Amino acid sequence: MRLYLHIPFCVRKCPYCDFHSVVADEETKSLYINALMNEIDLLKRVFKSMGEEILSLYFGGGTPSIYPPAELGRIIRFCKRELTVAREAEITVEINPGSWKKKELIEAARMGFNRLSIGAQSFDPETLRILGRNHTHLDVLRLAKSAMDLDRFDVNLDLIYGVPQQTLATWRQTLEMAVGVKPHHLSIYALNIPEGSEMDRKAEEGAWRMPAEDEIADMYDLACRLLGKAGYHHYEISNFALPGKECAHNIAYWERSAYIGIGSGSHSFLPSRLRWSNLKNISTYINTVNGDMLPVEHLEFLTREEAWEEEVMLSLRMSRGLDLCALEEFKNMRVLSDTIDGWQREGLVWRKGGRLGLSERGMLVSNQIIASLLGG
Amino acid sequence: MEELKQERIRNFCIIAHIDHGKSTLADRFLEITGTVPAQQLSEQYLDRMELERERGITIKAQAVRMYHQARDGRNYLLNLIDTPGHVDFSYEVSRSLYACEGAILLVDAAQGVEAQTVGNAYLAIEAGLKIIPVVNKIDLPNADPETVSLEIQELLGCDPQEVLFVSAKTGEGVREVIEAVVERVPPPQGESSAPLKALIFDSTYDQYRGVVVFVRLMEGEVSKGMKVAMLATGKVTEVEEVGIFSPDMVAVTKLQAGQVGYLITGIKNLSLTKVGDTVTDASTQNTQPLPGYREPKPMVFAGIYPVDPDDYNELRVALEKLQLNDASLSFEPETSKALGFGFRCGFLGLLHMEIVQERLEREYKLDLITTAPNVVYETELTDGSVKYINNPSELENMAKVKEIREPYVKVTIMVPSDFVGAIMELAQERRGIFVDMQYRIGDRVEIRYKLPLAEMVLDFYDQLKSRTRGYASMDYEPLGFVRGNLVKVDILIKGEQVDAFSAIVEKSRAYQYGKEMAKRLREVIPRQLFEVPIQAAVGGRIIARETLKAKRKDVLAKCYGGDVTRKRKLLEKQKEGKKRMKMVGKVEIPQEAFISALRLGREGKGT
Ligand code: SF4
Repeated sequence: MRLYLHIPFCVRKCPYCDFHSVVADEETKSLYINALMNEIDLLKRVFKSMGEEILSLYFGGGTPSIYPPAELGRIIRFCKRELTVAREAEITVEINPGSWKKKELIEAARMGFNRLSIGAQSFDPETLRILGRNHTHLDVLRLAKSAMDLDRFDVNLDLIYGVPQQTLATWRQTLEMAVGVKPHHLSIYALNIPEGSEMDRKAEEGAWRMPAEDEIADMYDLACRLLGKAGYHHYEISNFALPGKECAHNIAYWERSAYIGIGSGSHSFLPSRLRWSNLKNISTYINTVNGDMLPVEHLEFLTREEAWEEEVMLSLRMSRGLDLCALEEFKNMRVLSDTIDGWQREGLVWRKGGRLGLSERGMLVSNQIIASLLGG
Repeated sequence: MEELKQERIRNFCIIAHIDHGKSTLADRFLEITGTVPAQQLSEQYLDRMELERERGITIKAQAVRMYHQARDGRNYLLNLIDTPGHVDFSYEVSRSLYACEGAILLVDAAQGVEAQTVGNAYLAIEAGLKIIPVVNKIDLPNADPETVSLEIQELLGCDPQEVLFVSAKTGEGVREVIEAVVERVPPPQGESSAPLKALIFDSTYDQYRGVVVFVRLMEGEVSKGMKVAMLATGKVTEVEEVGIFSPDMVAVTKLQAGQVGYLITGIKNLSLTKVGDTVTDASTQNTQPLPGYREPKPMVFAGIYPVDPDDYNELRVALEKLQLNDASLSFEPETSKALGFGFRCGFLGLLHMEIVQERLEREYKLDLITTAPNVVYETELTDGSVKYINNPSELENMAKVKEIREPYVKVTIMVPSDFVGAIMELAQERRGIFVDMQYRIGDRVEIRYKLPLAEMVLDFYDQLKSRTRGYASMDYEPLGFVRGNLVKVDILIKGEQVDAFSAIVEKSRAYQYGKEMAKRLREVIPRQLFEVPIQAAVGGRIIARETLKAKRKDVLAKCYGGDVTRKRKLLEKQKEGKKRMKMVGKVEIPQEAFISALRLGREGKGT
């Protein structure tokens, strides 16, 4: 069992953001922390009935580091008291380089955090400026160094590629600087500019050079090459880790094991077919849990086929791939075989020991491959 | 209605270039003769189809009977036969002309003689008609009636005093024109006592009454109950009604030699009453047909497909309905790898094609995709047999083909002399063969070329207009098939031939066409998981190649907080999208890509 806690607040919204987060006042923020604990309380019976230890806690956002570490620490303490949290549990917090400094990191370690996911995004000032981030590349560097020097955390850096004006050269610099910090884990994401977002409007104005598809693909290839050379294992489409340092919490999503999301807009899953998500409106969320009601906005019981689709889609994100027997459950393998052979010839997939997986090139076009497998 | 002797009948038509005021003049006739009261005259009574009125051209012939008391005090019966006004319908025009004894040649006082005026004037002269030249729109501030009159005198070789001047708009001089019709146009010949011979100059389909045949009686008479035969189609039927146009249809007891009117018979199928055919008394044997009958023969073909495959049946029904009223439209089912199920349609010309397309879209609300038009080719096979090719993809095996012949036309272009260079350049680009050039009054030049119809079908007319800033006018007539140095260019997508893009082109143009098309397809086909070569080939030999590079990036962004549902929905949408793709071999192509490639191919064309 895994526990995810969503902090839907940011100091200000980034121009490309379509995550669930808002800018809020202090009062809402403090009410929210209490509401989170109320929700955990409400769900205690569910946790108990599952009879499983909590193997990981993950504070994601938004910007969890908008709170001082002690505030988040209260929740950890509450969980440890009310639920069964494994002794070695992975406890992650996403932090924004503009918020916590070394002092807060020391505090965070005391509160029980053992993994930091730093929203670095880039080491290039121009890229950070275009992303509208509220921190500089020096903030990123300092925070990452401190986190490493303290030696109390596994550290992840999030990096973004495919940003307007970004070039293969500036991306290379970012990668090299990131590797120089020697974090345990790196996540690299292609920038997605949501339609109608502020960044989308700016891009429309045409003042920026937008990297073309091939250039973005080259950036991904470069990351795979450089990180591979630096000893990172490419274990999921967007994730690289030193051996043994994979993010256990995220792996649970891809392996479809149980997780419960706490907080406004969070997502939960109980194998093998139950999913729900929480109310997105923050005050409705707070009022609902404070009224001792579960803040569920949407609940669905997957059909067998939908569950199977998830299995295919999520397994293929991982480097260990998909059990081919799972495919046979819904698809005529004789028909698919031909298509898969074609992909194999193109070097997009591999087949080994009854499993099918994507090569690094295949990962970058995973949508196409997965959609074909589901449709074919 | 009083019956009038044959010598008091005048059958005439008006020939004019588009916009020279034919319909307005006809309206004035109706008004002056009291056939239609002035207040009932909707603009241009004779052009009844909405589309006709919009485009200012006549597609179907019309006829109207008027009575007029002339200056000599006697009553005359005037039949105005309105002819189709476009080159695509020149055969129909010529049949209408044969139904008349006289023609008013109407020329705009500001525009002067246009190529079409010349073409139609020659047709009228050839048909033995008495021509009454009339200069219209003399009220316009930029009118130059004297120069235009000189142009006309030169064209017809007539005397200056023969030319009349009118303003159909204000009515000035119109009465003189009617008098001239009475005085100059000879009465029809032909004996009412002779066996029946009536010329079909048009026919329409009426939902309730079946086919209405427009006839000019050359000899004999026809009345209700008579058994008649159509000579060309051999159809025998009984006459249910005879009548005249006044201008609406009015039944009469009989029609006699020299008269114009309509017949309604038991015939429900327009293809049995062909324009130019002769109607005779079924009981008389061995009647000689009237001269000049020709099977309508489509010269331009194009595939018409519904954008939404579910509209296929609706499209078929719509084509059938259009055909009821337009016997020259042909169609047969066709299947295309790229476009699915549709029809290969045959048209008399480009304008005809556009009219049909527009009516399908407007009146039947169909969303259509039309392939680039092609002409009909005559091929002689090695065994000596001759085959006509309506669709380039029918030309399968070049080895069996001894020679391909393509239709040529003779184009007459009238243009101010400043633009002669531009015309020559254009004609050269389009494989034109110079015939002759004549200087006309007022610094105008008449140039004639022989030109492959295929070149006209592209955007010749648009080019002509744009390169002469709209000053040139054009007319053409078919010349028959001429042997050409032609090859079939195929387009292959990852080795698979795509029918809709095959074309028969002149050998020296094959590379250009192939390169163009391959490039266009490369631009519109989405990248696939593998590299896709797009090639142009002539008889199996690759002449041009473009490469669509493999798709490299299509990946979902951050999987945030375990929101798997959103990801699944996105992929499901993508999966559904894939189902709608057309497969060409292993290549998935959205229909829109084909459509936009075809649209690009037709860009900037139209009449
Ligand atoms: S920090 Fe993250 S969640 Fe907050 S606005 Fe920026 S992108 Fe969105």
